Amino acid sequence: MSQAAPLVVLNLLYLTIGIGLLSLVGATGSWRTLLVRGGIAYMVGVAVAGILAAHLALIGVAVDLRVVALVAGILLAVATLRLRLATPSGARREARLPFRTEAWLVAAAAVLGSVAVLAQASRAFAVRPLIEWDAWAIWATKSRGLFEFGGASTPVFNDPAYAPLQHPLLLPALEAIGFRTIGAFEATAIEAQMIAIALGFAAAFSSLLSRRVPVEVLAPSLFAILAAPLVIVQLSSSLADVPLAFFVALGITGLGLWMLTGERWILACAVLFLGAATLTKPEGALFVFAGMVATLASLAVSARRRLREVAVAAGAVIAIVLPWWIYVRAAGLATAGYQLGDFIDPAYARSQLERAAPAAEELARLVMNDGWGYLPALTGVGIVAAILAARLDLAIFVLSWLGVSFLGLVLAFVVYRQPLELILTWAGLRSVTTLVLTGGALAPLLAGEAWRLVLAKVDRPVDVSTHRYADSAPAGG
Amino acid sequence: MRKFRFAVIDLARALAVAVVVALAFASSQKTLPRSWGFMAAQLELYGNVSADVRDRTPGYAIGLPVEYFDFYREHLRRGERYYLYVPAAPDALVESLPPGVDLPDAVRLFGRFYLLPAIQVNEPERADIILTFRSDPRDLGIAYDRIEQAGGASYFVAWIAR
Repeated sequence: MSQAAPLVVLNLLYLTIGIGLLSLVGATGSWRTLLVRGGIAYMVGVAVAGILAAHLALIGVAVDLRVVALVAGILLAVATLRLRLATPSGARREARLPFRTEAWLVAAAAVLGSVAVLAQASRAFAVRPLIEWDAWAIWATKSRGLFEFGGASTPVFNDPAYAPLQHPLLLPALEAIGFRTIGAFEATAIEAQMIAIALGFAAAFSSLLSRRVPVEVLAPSLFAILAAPLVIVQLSSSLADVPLAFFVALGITGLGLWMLTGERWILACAVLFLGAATLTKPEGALFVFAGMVATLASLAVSARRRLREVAVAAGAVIAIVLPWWIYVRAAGLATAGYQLGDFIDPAYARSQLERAAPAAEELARLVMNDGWGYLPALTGVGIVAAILAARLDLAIFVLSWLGVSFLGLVLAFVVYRQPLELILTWAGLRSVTTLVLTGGALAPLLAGEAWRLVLAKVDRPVDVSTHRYADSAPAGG
Repeated sequence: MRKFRFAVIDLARALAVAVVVALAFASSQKTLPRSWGFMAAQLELYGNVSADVRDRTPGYAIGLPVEYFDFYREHLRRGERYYLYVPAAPDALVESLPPGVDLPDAVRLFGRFYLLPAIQVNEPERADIILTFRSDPRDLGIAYDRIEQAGGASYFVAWIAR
């Protein structure tokens, strides 16, 4: 594994980019908060590098290790400067949940299980070749094309012989950076990137939610996600569906967390993850749209004055994806299987309407597939827990996101021009990945609210009226 | 009475959270053996596979004769445009194809992946080179400068006369 060392360096640079950016958005006011929130940094770095590389590929600029190192260096310098300037008294102490031995005993089994799954996946993915059809026929062809030609101005990205052409380039661009780093096209580099993203998701998810969700609720939920066969099998196949689901899960849980805490750096991270999702797969835009609708639906009831921030966030996500949409339009890239106009053509929609019921039925069946474990049930009980905790805003947010996302997927299968049975066979199970995984990721956030209230009665470390912990007040305050 | 109501709601909250935690553990317990078994199988299947074989696996997995793609590759240069001629054939020839994919589709898709950085085109008129799969390039009625055959098999590389 002579390629391992350069790939490790590359991924450490992504981590550095993330640390720098977290500092810029005000997430790390001190070295201590940097340590606590550092878990999010890797995925932030991957999102930034992926977005940059995907956009630069459109104008023929190839991002390699040197470019990544340059960006990381600049951001690290800025982060160091900011952290030096931050005075201890000015730095807010990180809100932490109180340490409870029994909670950690419950969590320990789940943490060990998650670590074991990721370790075994690392070994298995390191030797697994590209087997699944779309993995090599679409995704690896694109990443190899970027590696060989440096940019997207070649027939690989605009000639019908290489259809589908409308798949965005974040993942291929990220993989191409890996190939440039090791100097060759290697399937193992793709698999290594997949496992790094899985590790990054686990770290980011834990770091993001650990401040709000008690560990005994958080750790088992993460374990349930990572252990699900449909997550592991799809991740090993090097398709873009699980990375998309990871970005969406981080973005949507980020939005939910921001609704609870109001911290803007969380909203900034959510925007970045959702922006990355729109550039990972075409349906990323659907899940992001659903997220914005859900946030608006929830805040319209509970906190109207925060709607402006949501509008700014939605604008920022659109700004991230806009260069790609402009490129698609300018290059006249045809979409495979449907036309954008189909979505707003009532005559066509009517002619396709008979597909709606079977599509919805099959997608619902796929959501309940055995390979997800009990993730859908976890989401359902989580929503009940949030309602019992009087967090209707959060419950509305999650229900709206799930509902709009599901309806959007059904609509996509309705307007597709291929036979329904064929397209469901090809893409049905993969298409619900984001729905199920994100639902599972939202479960601890939902249940955590109920558990906090229960713990407040038992331990009384929480001021229930403000939802603040005793040690979350500003230092000296 | 108020105190009792609070106790009931707290009990309900605790119960809901307990169900979430129990479901999460039950889910992992149910699925982990399958996921672990899959990963162990991958290690056993591919642990000792060489890098060369790993590169060719997409083709092997759908039953294509990858050695002839190596023959094509030997004759293609970076950026050269080729047309891959594959006459329609019964799908039974390649049993492991996914639904809705025929043999010409499969060959062309594998070619466009495996033969990069040469560029595939959909029309012979746009090509510099014709590659044929179980067929003779002369069937296309194009004039060639040179034709190479892979041993005695019906796989050819033909350079279009300019």
